[in-house]
Amino acid sequence: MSGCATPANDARPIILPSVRDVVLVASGKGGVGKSTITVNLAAALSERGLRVGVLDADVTGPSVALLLGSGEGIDLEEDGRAQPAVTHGMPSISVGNLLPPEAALTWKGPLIAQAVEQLFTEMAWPDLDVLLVDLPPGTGDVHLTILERVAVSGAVIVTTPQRLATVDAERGIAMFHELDIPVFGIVENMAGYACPCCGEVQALFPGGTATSLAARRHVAHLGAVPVDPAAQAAADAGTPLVLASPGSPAASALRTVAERVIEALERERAARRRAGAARPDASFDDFWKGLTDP
Amino acid sequence: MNAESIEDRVRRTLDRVTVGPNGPSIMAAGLVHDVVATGGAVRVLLDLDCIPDGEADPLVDMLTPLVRGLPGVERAVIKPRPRRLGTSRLPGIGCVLGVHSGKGGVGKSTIAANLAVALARRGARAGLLDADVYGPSAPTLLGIAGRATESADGRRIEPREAHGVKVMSLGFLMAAEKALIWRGSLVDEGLGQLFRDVAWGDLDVLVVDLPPGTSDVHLATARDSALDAVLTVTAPGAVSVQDVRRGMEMFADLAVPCLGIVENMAGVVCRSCGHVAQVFGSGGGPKLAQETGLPLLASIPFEPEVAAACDGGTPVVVAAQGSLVGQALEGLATELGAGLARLRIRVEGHL
Ligand SMILES: Nc1ncnc2c1ncn2[C@@H]1O[C@H](COP(=O)(O)OP(=O)(O)OP(=O)(O)O)[C@@H](O)[C@H]1O
Ligand SMILES: Nc1ncnc2c1ncn2[C@@H]1O[C@H](COP(=O)(O)OP(=O)(O)OP(=O)(O)O)[C@@H](O)[C@H]1O
Ligand SMILES: [Mg+2]
Ligand SMILES: [Mg+2]
Repeated sequence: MSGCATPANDARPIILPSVRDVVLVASGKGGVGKSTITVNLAAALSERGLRVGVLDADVTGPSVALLLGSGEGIDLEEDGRAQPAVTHGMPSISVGNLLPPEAALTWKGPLIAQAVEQLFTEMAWPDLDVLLVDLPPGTGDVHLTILERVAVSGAVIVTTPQRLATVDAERGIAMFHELDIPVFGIVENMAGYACPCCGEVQALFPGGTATSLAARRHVAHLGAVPVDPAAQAAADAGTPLVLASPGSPAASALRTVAERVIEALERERAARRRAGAARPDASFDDFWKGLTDP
Repeated sequence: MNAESIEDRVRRTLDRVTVGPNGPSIMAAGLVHDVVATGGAVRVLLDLDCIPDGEADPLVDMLTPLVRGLPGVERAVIKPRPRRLGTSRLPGIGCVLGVHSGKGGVGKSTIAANLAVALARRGARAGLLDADVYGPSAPTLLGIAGRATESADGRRIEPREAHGVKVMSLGFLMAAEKALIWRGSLVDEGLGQLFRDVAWGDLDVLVVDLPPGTSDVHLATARDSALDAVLTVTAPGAVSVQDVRRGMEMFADLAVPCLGIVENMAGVVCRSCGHVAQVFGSGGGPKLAQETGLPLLASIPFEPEVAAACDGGTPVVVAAQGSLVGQALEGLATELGAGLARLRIRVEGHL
C-alpha cells in the first residue's frame, strides 16, 4: 500500500456562527450504537436545558431521520437554506430526510465531502449550545472533511465491550489525539443484558476491554449503557430511549453520560477562555505526517 | 376498468415525451432503458449511451416531476441504467463473492470469515479478503497476529493462512493502535493491490468482507475484482433495513447480482433459560426479502458464546459447530453453493 494522505485542495474552514460547540460521536467499528447514543445524548442534554442540534454525517448509512422520527422532506428558507427538521424539541438533519433508499447514489469521496459540507453550511441552524455530529463507522472521507474544516470541541467514542470493537475504537482515539481534538471519553454500549424472561444478567459481548482501553489511552470512561430490549422499539418508533422509557437502567446510564459530557464541555470552554480563543481553533499542520504506514 | 400497473402507466407517459419537437418518443429512441416499480417507488433507468453528453441532467429534471405526478407513484428516481464497472477476472480465482451491508455491525465480518472456513472444510480452495480498510476484523476473528510477508520472488505479498483459508487483511500491513484515515482516492490506488499483488494461487472462491456503508472501497472492489455476486447481511430492525437497502441499491446499479439476504442477530438466546428476546428488532430479513424478491438464505440468532468465540480467534463453525449459529452458518454455506450454481458460476463442484 503506497501513497500518503494529503490535505484536500479545498480546506476552507466551515464556520457555524450560531453554534457554540460541535461534538462528534465516533467509533471505529460499525453498529456499536453511535447513532443510538447520539440521539439519546441529545435528548438528555436538552432535558438539562441545553439547546442541542443533531447532524447525521453518515451520508451513506443515515439513521438519525428514523431515530428522531423526523420523516422525509424538509422546508427551504427564503435565502435558499434548508430548515432542519424539529422533533422532540431538537433540530436535526440527515440524508434520510432528503433521499429515499432507492435514490441512494454511489458517492465517491469528493461527492461525499461535498454532501457533508452542505449539511453544515446549507442549513439554517438556529442558535445552539451543542451540535452533536453522528459520524459513520470507519475513518474515511467524512471524517477527513469534518476534521480538516470544522472547529470541533471534542469527541465521544462509542464501543461495545468486545475486543473486536475496542481495537477499532483505539484507532479512533489515536486519530483524535493526533489532531489535538479532546476526547471527552468512551461510552461502553451494550454492556450487560438482563433476560426479560428470567432476569438473569449476562454479558452479550465478552467484557472488560473498554475500561482498560480508557485507562491505556488516558481518557475518561463516561458510562456503561446496558442492552435494553426496548431500545429497538424506541428506535423504530423514532423516539430516543431516554424519552420513551425514562426509568430504565439504560436511560439513567445515558443521563450519566450526558452529565459527564456537560462537565467535559465546561472544562473545554474554560481552557479555551484561558487560551484566549472564543472558539476551538483548527490547525492541522502536523496531522498529515505519518498518517498511513508506508 | 382493469387496473393498469404503475410500470405501464409510467411507460405510457414516457412514450409521449419526444426527442426534439417532432422526433421519436424517448422510449422508442431507447433513451429509457427500463422502468421498475417496487410498490409506489419507481425507478426509471436511462441508457446514457443513447443520450448526448450534457443532455442527461436536463432530461432528469424534466422527467422527474412528470413521473412523480402520476397516480400511484409515491417516489420516483431517474438514474442511469446499471452498468458493470470491471470485467477483468482475477487469474486463478473461480469466483469472487462479496459480503456487504449498508449497516455497520450486523455481522458481515463474522459471516464472511465463517463462510470461508466452512467452504474450506468442505474441500473448496477458499480465500478471505478483508477489504475493510477502516476497521479490519479478520486478524482478530481468525486469531492471526503479526505482519504479512513478501513472496519468495519479492514481488507479491503472501497471504496468511488459518483454518484452511488463505487470508489477506489490511490489518497485516499496518501497525495496530495507529490512526488510519483513508481518503477515497487512496483507496482507489491501494485496493487493487490487495487483489492483484497478493499471491492467492488457485482459489475456488474468494470471499470479500466489505466495510459498512457504500464507499470507494465497494466501487474499487467491483472494479478490480469483477465481483461475481454479493451476499447481503442485515439485522432485523427497521434502522438496519433502511440502510441495507441503500447498500443493495449500489450493487444493483453496478449490475452485481445479489444471491440473497442473511438476517443476523435475529433474537438473543438467554444463556440461562433459553428465552429468545428480539433485542435487535424483528421481521427485517423477511421484509427485505419480500420487498426485493430475493431469497432469505438464513436467519441467524445472537448467541453470546459466538461473540466470545470471535474475540478468541476461532470461528464458530470450528469452535461451536453444534450451536444454533454454527448450524445456521453451515446451512448458509450449502445454500450458497446452490446460489452460485444458479448464477452458473463455475466453482469446481466443491460447493
Ligand atoms: N443499548 C442498547 N440496547 C439495545 N439495543 C441497542 C443499544 N444500542 C444500540 N442498539 C441497537 O443496535 C443497533 C446498532 O445501533 P446504531 O445504529 O446506533 O449503531 P451505529 O454505531 O450508529 O451503527 P452504524 O455503524 O451502522 O452507523 C441498532 O439496532 C440499535 O437499536
Ligand atoms: N450471530 C451472532 N451471535 C453473537 N454475536 C455475533 C453474531 N454475529 C455477530 N456477532 C458479534 O457482533 C459484532 C459485530 O459483528 P461483525 O464485526 O461481524 O459485524 P460487521 O458487520 O462486520 O461490522 P462492521 O460494520 O464494523 O464491519 C461482533 O462483536 C461479533 O462478534
Ligand atoms: Mg449510525
Ligand atoms: Mg466488519
